[in-house]
Amino acid sequence: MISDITLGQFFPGFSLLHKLDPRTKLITGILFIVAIFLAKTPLAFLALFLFTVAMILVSRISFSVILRGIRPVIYILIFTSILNILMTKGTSVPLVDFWIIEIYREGIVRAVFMTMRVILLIVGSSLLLTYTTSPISLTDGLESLLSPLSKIGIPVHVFSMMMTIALRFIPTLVEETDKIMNAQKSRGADFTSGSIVRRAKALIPLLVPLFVSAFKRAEELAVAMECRCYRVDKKRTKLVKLTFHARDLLSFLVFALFLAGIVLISRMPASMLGGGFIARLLCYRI
Amino acid sequence: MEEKKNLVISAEHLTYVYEDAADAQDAPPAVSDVSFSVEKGEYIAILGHNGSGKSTLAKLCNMILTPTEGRLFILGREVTAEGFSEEDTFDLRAEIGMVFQNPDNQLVATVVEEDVAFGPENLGLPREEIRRRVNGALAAVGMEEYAHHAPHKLSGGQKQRIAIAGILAMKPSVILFDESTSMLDPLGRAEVVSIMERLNREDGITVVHITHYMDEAARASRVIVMNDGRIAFDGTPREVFKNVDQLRALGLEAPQGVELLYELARAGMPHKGDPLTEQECIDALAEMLGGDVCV
Repeated sequence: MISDITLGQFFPGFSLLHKLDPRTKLITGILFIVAIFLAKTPLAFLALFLFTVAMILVSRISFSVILRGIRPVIYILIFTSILNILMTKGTSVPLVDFWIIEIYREGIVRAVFMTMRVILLIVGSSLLLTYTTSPISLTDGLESLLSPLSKIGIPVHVFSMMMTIALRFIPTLVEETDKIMNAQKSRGADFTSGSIVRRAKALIPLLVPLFVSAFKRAEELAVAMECRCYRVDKKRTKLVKLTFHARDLLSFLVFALFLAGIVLISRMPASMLGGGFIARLLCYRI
Repeated sequence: MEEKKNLVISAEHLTYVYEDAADAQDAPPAVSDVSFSVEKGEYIAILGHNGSGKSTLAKLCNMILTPTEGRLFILGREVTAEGFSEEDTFDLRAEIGMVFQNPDNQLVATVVEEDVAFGPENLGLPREEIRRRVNGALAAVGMEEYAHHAPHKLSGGQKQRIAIAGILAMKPSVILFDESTSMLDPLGRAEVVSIMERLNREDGITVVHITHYMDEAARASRVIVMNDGRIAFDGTPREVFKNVDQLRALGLEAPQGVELLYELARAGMPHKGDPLTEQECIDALAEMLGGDVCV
């Protein structure tokens, strides 16, 4: 059944992360991403890693779900890591010098850092945003955060209304696609065998009725919305108001402190940890 | 003007020609020279085969379409008058709600209660008032427990009840149902019709129900039959449905019981009076058979 697909992989729940205001999550998400890019040493990455694990535990989302989220980018990560390792030219003696392949320590370090950054980025942002925030509250949060832009003539509300309607109609259109597919299958259409080109061609007769009906729906919806006094240019009120709670303030504090901590850790000299081999390794900067 | 105070809708020689049809030579108007009025608190059914102009009439009443000719008064105000602005249109639309045919294509939000709140939000009402109206409207259609559900997971009848709640939340004095039962299963139809009747009876909301179903029309207090853009019949269901022959000529049928008795009468077995409801038809049959009929 294609109607089983969930959009944005939202997992309903009642954890602290779920309860946070969407605006808090958007802003702290940005803080977290900034922290990822300001992390320069293995020690800072260790801190980021522990913080992310803590967030996963708080969200009560299972680790297998998180791993599944990383899977699609694994090949890209491997590919870019290889490129990083091969293309980075260091200043020291190459570790491997064979034929045209020269591998420097800097290249390996860079590949490892890059991989960790991307993984943390995906896990952190999906934890804060997609996994624990419903699409509709994410839209509300975005609208609220971007609302100052409407003062300079950017139709923020219109975009958010478009998002809402898109989210509302995705399941309806998926259901309809299913219906049209079945109707065509019952008359001998074949969507599953043959070459990719053949299968793509089989989709064209599916798209035409789907588009026609989508336009018809759009027109009917527009009339229905007008009948309910919807006007783009008029000030509307809202049933649900986003409100910040103490927990939102607390999260801001935690994330801001964390960001400051990452910056400090990244600048920490190895001598502060005793200057031994492990200390120098943890504080290694590229 | 004074006598129009308690008329919610009043049309005088109303004509409407679709614009894309107007280019064609001798395009027939969708609604042609129609005059009728609806009193406050009435429960009217509008019948007619496809293309008879009944949906166009509803769209004129809701100011989605502007009449080509004639005069139209909504709640005592002339919509066709000069100087009737867009602002006035929206003011009146809050009073005259419309529920459409396809329940899917009139729900806007991804959560039931937010959809119901859509109308009041557009009116710019304060939050507490919206909350009160949403709860009230959901209770009126018996869908309180679905307040936080996603509309696409509900049945057709339930979606249509949400659509009705969305209109009720705007506190209209008239609701137009434009074939709102035609895409529902029998159970969903029965639910929606009973809500319509209750709204009319208990809350005094004027109901105009455009339908294909004769049994639904028979429950209204007044039936208007449209044909080729004109009004063919206008009267109580009893008056209208006894014209079985003329209705057939318009491509319509009387309710089943009435049809049966009509055929019996033609075959030489006449009955007394003008039975309309199922029970009345059963009683009439019983009398003809000279005894009680068990159903």
